[in-house]
Amino acid sequence: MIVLLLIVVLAAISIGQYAVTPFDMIKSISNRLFDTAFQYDVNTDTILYRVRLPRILLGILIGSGLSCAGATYQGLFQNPMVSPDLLGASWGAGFGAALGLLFALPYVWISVIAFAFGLLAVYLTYFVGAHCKGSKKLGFILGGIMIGSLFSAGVSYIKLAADPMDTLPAITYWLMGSLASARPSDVYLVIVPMLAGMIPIVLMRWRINLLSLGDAEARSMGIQVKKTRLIFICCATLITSAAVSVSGMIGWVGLVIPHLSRMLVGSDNRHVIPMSLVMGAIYLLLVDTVARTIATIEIPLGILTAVFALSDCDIQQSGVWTEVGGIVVGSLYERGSIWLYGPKNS
Amino acid sequence: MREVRFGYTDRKILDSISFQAEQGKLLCVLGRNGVGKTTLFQLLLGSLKGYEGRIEVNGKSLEEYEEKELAKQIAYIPQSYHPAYNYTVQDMVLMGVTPSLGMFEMPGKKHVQRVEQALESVGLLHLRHQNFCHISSGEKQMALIARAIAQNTRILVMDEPSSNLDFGNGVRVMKLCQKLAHQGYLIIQSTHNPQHVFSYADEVLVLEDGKISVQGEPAKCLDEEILSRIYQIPTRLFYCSEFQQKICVAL
Repeated sequence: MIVLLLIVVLAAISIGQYAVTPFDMIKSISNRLFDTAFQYDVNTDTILYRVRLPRILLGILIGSGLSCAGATYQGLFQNPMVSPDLLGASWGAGFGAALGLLFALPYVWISVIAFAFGLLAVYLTYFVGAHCKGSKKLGFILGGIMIGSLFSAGVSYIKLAADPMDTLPAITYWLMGSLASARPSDVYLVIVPMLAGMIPIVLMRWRINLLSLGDAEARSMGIQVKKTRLIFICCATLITSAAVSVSGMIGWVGLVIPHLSRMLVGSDNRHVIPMSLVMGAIYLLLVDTVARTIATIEIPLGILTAVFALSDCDIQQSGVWTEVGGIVVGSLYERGSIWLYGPKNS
Repeated sequence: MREVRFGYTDRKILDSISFQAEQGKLLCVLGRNGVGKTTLFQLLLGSLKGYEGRIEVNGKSLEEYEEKELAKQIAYIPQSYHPAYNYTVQDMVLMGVTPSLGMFEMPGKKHVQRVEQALESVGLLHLRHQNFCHISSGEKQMALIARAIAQNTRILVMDEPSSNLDFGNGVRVMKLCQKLAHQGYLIIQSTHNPQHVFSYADEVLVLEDGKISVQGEPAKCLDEEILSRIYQIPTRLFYCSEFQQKICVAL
């Protein structure tokens, strides 16, 4: 899988509106790292270091981060249909970004505000869930839906108030998710929260297995359930908020990739989490490369990941009916597979 | 347990519960649905706080134990169930070694060996790579017992282990529990089948109206009147000389 990732990275560097040959790429990297003096196309350095590499690094970070967060949430909440925006982080970050765009703030500030609102949304969800009577887990899920809806309503209001000539299209495009505006500063902005979220999850991934059995069993096997769950929620939230703050809302990656990983390595999270990290990176890089090369204008990632996710599910389960553009994509999980139903008359 | 009282805000569940259980015994808890058997087990496992009285495990108050330390003393075996993910039998049993792992530690080869031994002791080693969801309910229950064995505790708490099982599997699970008790484990389990109590239990504890109404050796302390009163159906007991035990029949 690592080899496949390297191949995809090399392909992603080479392919684009301005093709960079592998030889030029090697020469450029060699000149940088080993002070050699190879001659190559003068534009290669700019394309490589200012455009493609930041975008590829960001794609790897976001793809692996969202998949890792998705697998974590799915284990924690014992629900294979859960995705990283379960606790409202995506809509919170979306609201923050829309607010930043409305006030025409500098790009970095938009990301910072989006990140802060993503965290705020999850904090509010946690507050609601913690004060819910009965099952706390259900409280978190319902709280996440409520807070997500609240911020979604906020985004709708901002869109209503936004200038339809420039701000509204910018907000709409941002919400659909894209790495088009990726720049080196984005990588520096998200790498710390991303790694701060991913490293503890990777180190503690065995405990996700136990939490996926339910609180009573996890506790009986020595897990401090509340504390451990809170650590995982904080880590997955850091990752999701950081990802959404620079790339917009890229759906499906966090939902589908953990399932594909389980198909390859089984359900043990010791293997699922590392596999999700690598597969998520490969998946988003592939989707992003297609998004920037398939047409003269870039296609937002949110659209492509949804289309690709349907074909993934088709591969996962024979006899699946998919209908792109269908009204209902009702998803039912059964024994490790996703079944997607189109409308009944399909 | 000494003088343990527990209730929720709207109702009292357990009132003045006192009992002591020793290693090497199979203790069955009998009682109607909703009488507080599961609550009693949750208290023993440290899942419920806010009780009055004192619960001791191996001479130390339950409140002094951290989760990890308690998990080295008591293992919980739920009813056989369908987990959300397709773990293999070995994955499920391997989870039992968690109390002996550090915060960032993963199970290693020695833990897998421990799991293999536990699976062998319950006769399921040949199923270790099978999907846990695809084996029978009886085998699931056996695998969960193997997990408790891998947990290396000497006290096993089982919540109605035979309730979802057919006649044969129910007997097999109970025989395994009896065997483990004879090996020195203390097994505390709830059951709805009085016959299991007569056939396999060393001690019985009857819960009625939140209190212990009967405690002792089943053949000596359980009679028709008590069983009829607990379950509110006419019950008869016969002595079977072939099996040398009482047979319980509900009319």
